[in-house]
Amino acid sequence: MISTKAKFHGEGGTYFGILIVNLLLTIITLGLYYPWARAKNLQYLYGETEFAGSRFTFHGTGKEMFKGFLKAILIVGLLIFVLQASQFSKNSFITAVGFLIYFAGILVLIPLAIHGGLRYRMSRTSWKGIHFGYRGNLGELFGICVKGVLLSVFTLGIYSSWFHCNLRKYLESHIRLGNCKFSFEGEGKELFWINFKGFFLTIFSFGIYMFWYIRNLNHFSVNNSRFEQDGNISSFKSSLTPGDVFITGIISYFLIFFTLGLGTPWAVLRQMRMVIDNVELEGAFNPDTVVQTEENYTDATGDDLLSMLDVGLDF
Amino acid sequence: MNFEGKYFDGKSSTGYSAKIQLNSFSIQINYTDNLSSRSVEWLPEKIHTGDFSSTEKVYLKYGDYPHQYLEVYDSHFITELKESFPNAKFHKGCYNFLFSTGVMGLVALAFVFIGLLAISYFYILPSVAEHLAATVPIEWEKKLGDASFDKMVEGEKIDSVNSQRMNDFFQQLHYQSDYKIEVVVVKDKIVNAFALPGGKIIVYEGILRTMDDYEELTALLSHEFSHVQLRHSTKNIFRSLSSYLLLSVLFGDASGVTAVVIQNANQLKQLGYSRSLEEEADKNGLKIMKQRHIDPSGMEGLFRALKKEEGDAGDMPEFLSTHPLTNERINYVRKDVAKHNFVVVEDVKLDSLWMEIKNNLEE
Repeated sequence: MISTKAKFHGEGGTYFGILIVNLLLTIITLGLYYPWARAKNLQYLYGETEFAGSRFTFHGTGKEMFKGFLKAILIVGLLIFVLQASQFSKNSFITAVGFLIYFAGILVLIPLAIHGGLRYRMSRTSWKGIHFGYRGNLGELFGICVKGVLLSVFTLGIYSSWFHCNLRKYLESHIRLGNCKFSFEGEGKELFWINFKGFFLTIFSFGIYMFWYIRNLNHFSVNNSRFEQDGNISSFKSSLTPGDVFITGIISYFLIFFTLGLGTPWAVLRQMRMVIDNVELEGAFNPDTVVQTEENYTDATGDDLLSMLDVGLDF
Repeated sequence: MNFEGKYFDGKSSTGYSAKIQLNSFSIQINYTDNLSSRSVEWLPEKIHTGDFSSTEKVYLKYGDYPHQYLEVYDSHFITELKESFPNAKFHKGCYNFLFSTGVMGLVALAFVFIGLLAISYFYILPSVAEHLAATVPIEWEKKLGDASFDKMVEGEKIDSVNSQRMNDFFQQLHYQSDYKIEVVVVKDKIVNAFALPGGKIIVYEGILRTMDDYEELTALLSHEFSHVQLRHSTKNIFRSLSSYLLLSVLFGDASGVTAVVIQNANQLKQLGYSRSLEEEADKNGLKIMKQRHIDPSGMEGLFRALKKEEGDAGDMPEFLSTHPLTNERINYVRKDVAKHNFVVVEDVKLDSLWMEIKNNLEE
């Protein structure tokens, strides 16, 4: 069995510089630089991530993200306007309707943002010149989200583990790297018990179990991901240990706390390194024979919406 | 000059070992694919470099989607590339310039940046906010004030008789203003009074009970009138809004801005002025009292009465909690009174109105 490792090369000093320059330009331009800042940030982080000896490239540009940013602001702004205007009306019926429109709008926006965001992010990411792609269908994703949110609410959150897995399965199975496919095999039941144990044991052990809980979540997420090339299926494996989580956590805490936040870039990179350096792919994967298949997609609205709604997608 | 590198054709993930030759108008890439030798020519205007290429590892991207790539691991390559194509756009940009300053340069930049932020937060923003506040039409202030007034007096009892007398009292002061001042007395033991933007002044019975003479009432009304006249509420909203804008830019949260406007409109009562605005209202109050020939010591009397209240109750009356320390206020009022000359003329009408107000309270 051949094993292919991932490696993260980011350096705190450089990343600190990028964040400072980004922050500076964002302030000077009264926030207009923000999309360019985000593009630079992603370009750096992707460019420092290596898999099987080659680094990833993020091709998204500030200009694309700015166009998306404007559309996203318009959409979110409209919803906020409806909410505020209905509150100003002083009529409780209109206020209630405005509230409903706002929340229904946000609920509709989330799958829309995930769909558009993933299409953009995947299309603009490449490895050895081969682009990723997302081929999911918005209607199907919408169905999964509506069902997931409603059942999660009715079961007081219990269903959310199954919802998470269904979503992951759908998204990952529609991601391509050239002619290679991804898939996810995690089951809701397994995730539910990880969360259940994580919640109660963390309380009973006064927080000590948290390091095992984070390790379990990481293993669940990584070890259930598959990669298929020309009919050969390889599995991702994570070698993260609770000790890694503990040490990285302690160091990150000190890096942020004792520098009044200036050490944050170092802490962020340390955490990324912890996750990425522990990932490997086991199986008959040949890095040199992936063929380009995906189309170009440059609309960044979904990606900007994701960042605005603060929805995290972990790749 | 010849270099070695790795070439990706954008069709498959195969990395070809390539020989790179810098010609006068193009880059020529020679590689072997399935035993047949191939050659590609790159024009400088279609070449892009990544922003984070280092001198040891140079990544070049070429053409339209799907792009071709070249990786060169040779520290001389980037300098040669610059010399061969000095005018090509791929090695321009302010971003790279900022990075060429090195770590110390970036740290220095960070400090300059933090300094700039501090200056703009503490000095530039407040004065910009003040200027902006001055441009707000009076009708807007009035609308804002009325909206919060309705919320604040909800469920409170208004003493309409004393409110009328207080308005007569205020008219008798003959203060010149663009605002139509309206005083409202609320039946409540709270020792408090405040001014809303646009001209409404709310006075609680509790504070009237602490007063001894009409000079003290004049001092209170002059203080609150100064808040209205000097647009303190509006300035405050603009200040917190502009601070919020800065913070939201820093932390990337744009949707909270509207929340600040709403919050301020609804909670003017809790907002509390900064100490400097309170002091400004005190001093302006003293000034207009002297112009009206009313004894400004009334201000000192008012503060002394409030201080006594402070001691009796064990905790501070609401009116004082956001105001400068009472002792400090008594001090600067006394200094101000001692420093300037003024003429005091006894005002019988004000006195009789005050007596009526006070008697109405006794019941």
